[in-house]
Amino acid sequence: MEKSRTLRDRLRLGLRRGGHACFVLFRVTVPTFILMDLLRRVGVVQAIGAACAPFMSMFRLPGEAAIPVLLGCFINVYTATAALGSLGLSGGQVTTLGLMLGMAHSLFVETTVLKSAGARALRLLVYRMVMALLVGWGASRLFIGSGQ
Amino acid sequence: MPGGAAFIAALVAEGGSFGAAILGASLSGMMFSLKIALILVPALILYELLAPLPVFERCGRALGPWLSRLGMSPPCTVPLVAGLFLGIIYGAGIIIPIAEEKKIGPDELHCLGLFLCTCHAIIEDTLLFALAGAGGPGEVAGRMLLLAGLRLFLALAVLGGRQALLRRRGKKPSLALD
Repeated sequence: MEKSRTLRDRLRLGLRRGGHACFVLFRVTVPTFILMDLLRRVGVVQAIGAACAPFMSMFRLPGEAAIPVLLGCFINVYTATAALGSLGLSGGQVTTLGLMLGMAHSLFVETTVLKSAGARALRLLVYRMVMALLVGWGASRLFIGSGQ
Repeated sequence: MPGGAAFIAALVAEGGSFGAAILGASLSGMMFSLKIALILVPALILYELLAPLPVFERCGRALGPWLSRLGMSPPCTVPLVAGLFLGIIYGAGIIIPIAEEKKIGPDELHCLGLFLCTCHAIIEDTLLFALAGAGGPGEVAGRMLLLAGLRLFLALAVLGGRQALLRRRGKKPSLALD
């Protein structure tokens, strides 16, 4: 009796979390896809790509890949994932970007949480960004061929 | 997914109008979300169902001695596991109150922060990134294991390295190891 109730509670909790994730996913992805499509038609994506190409080439990534990185850092991983999906990158490029974004994302919100928990949040913020660059560089050597 | 996107793009390119472009983009956005949701939602539900099993609680207790090597004491286990699986934002409700109880020292808290910054929300984030790329289920699973494994490894390496460095400098690590 007791057990089945907690099981039901757990199921409800899981459903709520899944539903919330789903909601965020759709709410964020569809507008991001539309915006990315429009920006590509107008040429903004290409312009950002050209501007960021020298920096992103350190990670053997196209300049456009800067868009998910920036979106991930300033907004959240859902937006970044949506932008990532609309770029049509290779598996190795997605792995590299996934690792970089895993290190550094939702920087404002997560730094605030860590700060309220009493951690040395600014130092952690710098650590995350440095780590993202190092990991991205390492991962690109491992997962992306040099012939890009 | 690029296959689906390309199909829709080809369909829409015929019309070429602004409305058709928006329709095409939102359709491919929806298909992309749907693909991710189909895996992400069952995974999150399964996690919530399995997490309270006693096996995992025993694992948590077994973690204690390992934590001390990373500069953390047993009270860190709960916030660590919460951040690791739920993420920093979802886990905030667990992490902040425990940190405020002051059972965790400032240096331990820093270690905890370092670990969680390197490696958190291991199910959700990893799945999202793994699913974002093209490839069959095998490739997605492989990428997920790779992403999760590497982040965990990095978190352990960074904290282990930090403790080793502190010891070498002759400073007493935050917790006695012997």
